[in-house]
Amino acid sequence: MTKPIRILLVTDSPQLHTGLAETTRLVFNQLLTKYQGKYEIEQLAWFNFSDGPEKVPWKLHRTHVKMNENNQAVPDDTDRYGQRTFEAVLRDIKPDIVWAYGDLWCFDHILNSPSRNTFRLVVYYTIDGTPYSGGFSLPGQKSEWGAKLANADEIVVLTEFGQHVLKGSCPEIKDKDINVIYHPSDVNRFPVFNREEKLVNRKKIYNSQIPNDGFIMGWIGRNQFRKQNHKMWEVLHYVKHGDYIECSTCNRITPKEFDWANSTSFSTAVSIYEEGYDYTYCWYCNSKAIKSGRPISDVYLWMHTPKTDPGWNMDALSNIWDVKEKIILTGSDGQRGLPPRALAELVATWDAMLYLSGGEGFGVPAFEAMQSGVPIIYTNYSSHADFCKYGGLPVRCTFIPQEAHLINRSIADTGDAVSKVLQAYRNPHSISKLGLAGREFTKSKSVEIITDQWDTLFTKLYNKPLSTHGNTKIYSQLA
Amino acid sequence: MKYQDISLTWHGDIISQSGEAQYARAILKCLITNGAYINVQHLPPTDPLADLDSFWHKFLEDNKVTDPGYIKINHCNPTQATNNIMNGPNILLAHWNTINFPVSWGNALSNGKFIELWTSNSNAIAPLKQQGINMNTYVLHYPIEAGFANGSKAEITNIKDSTYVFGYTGTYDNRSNPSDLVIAYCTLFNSSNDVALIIKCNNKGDNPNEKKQIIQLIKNIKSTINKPDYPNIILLQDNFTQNAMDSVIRRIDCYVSTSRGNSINITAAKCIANGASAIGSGVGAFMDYALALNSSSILQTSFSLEPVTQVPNSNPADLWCRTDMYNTIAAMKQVYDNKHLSNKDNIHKIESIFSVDTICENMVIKLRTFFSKKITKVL
Repeated sequence: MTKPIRILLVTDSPQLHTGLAETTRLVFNQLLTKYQGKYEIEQLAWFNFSDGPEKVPWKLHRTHVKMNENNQAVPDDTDRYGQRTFEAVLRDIKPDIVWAYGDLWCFDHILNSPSRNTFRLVVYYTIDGTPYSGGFSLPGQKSEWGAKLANADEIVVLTEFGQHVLKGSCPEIKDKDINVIYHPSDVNRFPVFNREEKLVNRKKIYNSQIPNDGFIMGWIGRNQFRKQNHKMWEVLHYVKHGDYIECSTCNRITPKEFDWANSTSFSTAVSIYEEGYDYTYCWYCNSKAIKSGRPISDVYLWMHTPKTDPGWNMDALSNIWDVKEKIILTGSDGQRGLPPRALAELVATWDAMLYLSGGEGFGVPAFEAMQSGVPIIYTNYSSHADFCKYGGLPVRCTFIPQEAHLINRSIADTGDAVSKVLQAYRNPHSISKLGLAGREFTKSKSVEIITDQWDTLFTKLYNKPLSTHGNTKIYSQLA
Repeated sequence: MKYQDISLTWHGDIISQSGEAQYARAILKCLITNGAYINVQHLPPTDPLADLDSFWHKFLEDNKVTDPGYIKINHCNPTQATNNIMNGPNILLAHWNTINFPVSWGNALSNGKFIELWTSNSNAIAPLKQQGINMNTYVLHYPIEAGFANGSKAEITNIKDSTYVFGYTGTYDNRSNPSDLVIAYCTLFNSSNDVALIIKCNNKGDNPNEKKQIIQLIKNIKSTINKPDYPNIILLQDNFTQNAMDSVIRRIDCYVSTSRGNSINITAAKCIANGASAIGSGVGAFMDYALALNSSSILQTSFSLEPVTQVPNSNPADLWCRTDMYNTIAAMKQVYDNKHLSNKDNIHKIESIFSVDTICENMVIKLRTFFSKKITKVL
């Protein structure tokens, strides 16, 4: 019998409810099931402090932890991503292939491992914005991250956006094949509800204070700068208060400039339009065929987000934008979220997902919502835009670069976002059809199809000799 | 089948990645393919096993049960050899990296069990008489494979095609002395020079902490030198098969060593056979290569003698080589300034002087002197 291909996974613990963990569970459970005897899997699992809710059939190795003042296990930062543990686990397991999944700084130490030539390395890499070159780059000549990624045997990104950005940002890997393999869909887990079924299930799931017949938009994700969460409160404000003009000629929305100090709108513009602009004509096409916005009282935003994230001040945003009663806030304590089935049922009750993220490496929540046939109103930027276009409404955006690496985060255009929410609100049938089209697209990325792609890649890689055994590509450590 | 008359038992490691085993395989393969009868008495290897080709797999399979040869070559240290003396003539083939014959080995030679003492370089022979060792000696150099330069060359990450590459292979211990090399290299060059220094260090135990030691050592050296910037130092720390290692060697433009002693020095030989420049001290086989080739690109650096601690099994009475730092820097500058010059003549010279055919033919001639004695005795 042929020797099994031994793979060491290095990523979030599969017992957790994170996007990385979800991909890992889906792919490698299927790989072990479909290709019985072909693979042996073990994992160096990040954040694996205690047994999590999800179980997997492979062995998990832990990183070092330390105890905090409340006697809870927290990551030891010197080994957060296995920087200290990896070499020892590697020596014990002697894998044929190491599969590292996450951001570059999570597997930097693996790319520069002193034992790098003893294993084949696949990095599965999330690209959540552009450029993606690191702290230092000379465009077209060299980049910090390209030099590091050149130490991988195979680079795999999750979307075509990631492929385009990485090729352009990192000259060191411009001649390398960059593979695209999606996070797999698991459509059987995601129910699809028609309007009547949504109402029935809302009655079952929702708290009595939440009106069942409203237009419910949902959001799932972290609360952090990258996500630009603040935009959702702003958009909800304009929808609720109708504080905009709508052009009958070009159909665009011109939001009235908000006076943050007084929590109301300026009657004439101060900063975001030409000073003195009084909203008597469309800002975009100058047409006088405009109508004032109409307040809408039955639009709600369900935000499912970890309560422990030190991100945007959600209470303050609710108060400033006067939308507190329109927000339904649920979420995990940071590690344990809703069981996958329960979350899928909740998502299926939503009318749309409002996904105005500033940048996504993939965007698992949006992909999962699509599997439930829920249409996505999304920022037209970064990885999630690659698939949301099959089942959603794109929102224009501008950019703000994030400090150290200057990766751009999108900021949704408020007027366009309001316009897309209104489009969804006013056209329930067509938006529902769009959602179902999105679900069809996700079927083309089923667990079976995606796992076969991984099997092909692993098999090809395994058949190449190791660098220590005659492959003339040698990986070195820069001292 | 010109060596069909040769019959010997080889006692030693021929299956590992060690330099001694590689040396043994190079010699034995020539003898075997020319019809010599070889019986191997294996010495358990202390290095990782080599990735042997089909020739050796077949030989080892065929060699499981065989009769001893007429003469025995003990390719090991004298203690191991003394414990395995065979009836008939016994030769001790040993390598030592000290300047003198290791003090702790001396007694093993005085028992008269070895008819000759063989080693891999002529430099090691000279001190024997001064130490009162009056044995017949013979130098069996590492044989150079013809056409080594035609093999594949490694593409090494962090090194551009245009980069001039200094290269060194060794161990972590104080004998290989990578510290002096790093000091010399970092003193001479900075980040604006398109140069790299490959340090290929191997650790037998595969201990991850040990792999970090060389990084710490380099950090310490840099903080001591205290320059604003440094040239690239490239570390390779894995166990490579011989083919993989050969491909790395072919990427080296100048072999350089500040080792305290290196008796066989296969890497230097292969680098020269690939057309690289070479810098080493006037000890071990390097001296033989430098003298035989007499080339401006094969440079011997001056050295002093010193006892050394922190070397495994070292004896304070033994003397080791300490390469002169300024001399090493000057030599590196010389080859770098002349990097445009071709060393192709050296390839031809080293391949002819130290070729497999020449080395083995001379060895066989030597062995036949013992066989002729045997035949005379029988007659």
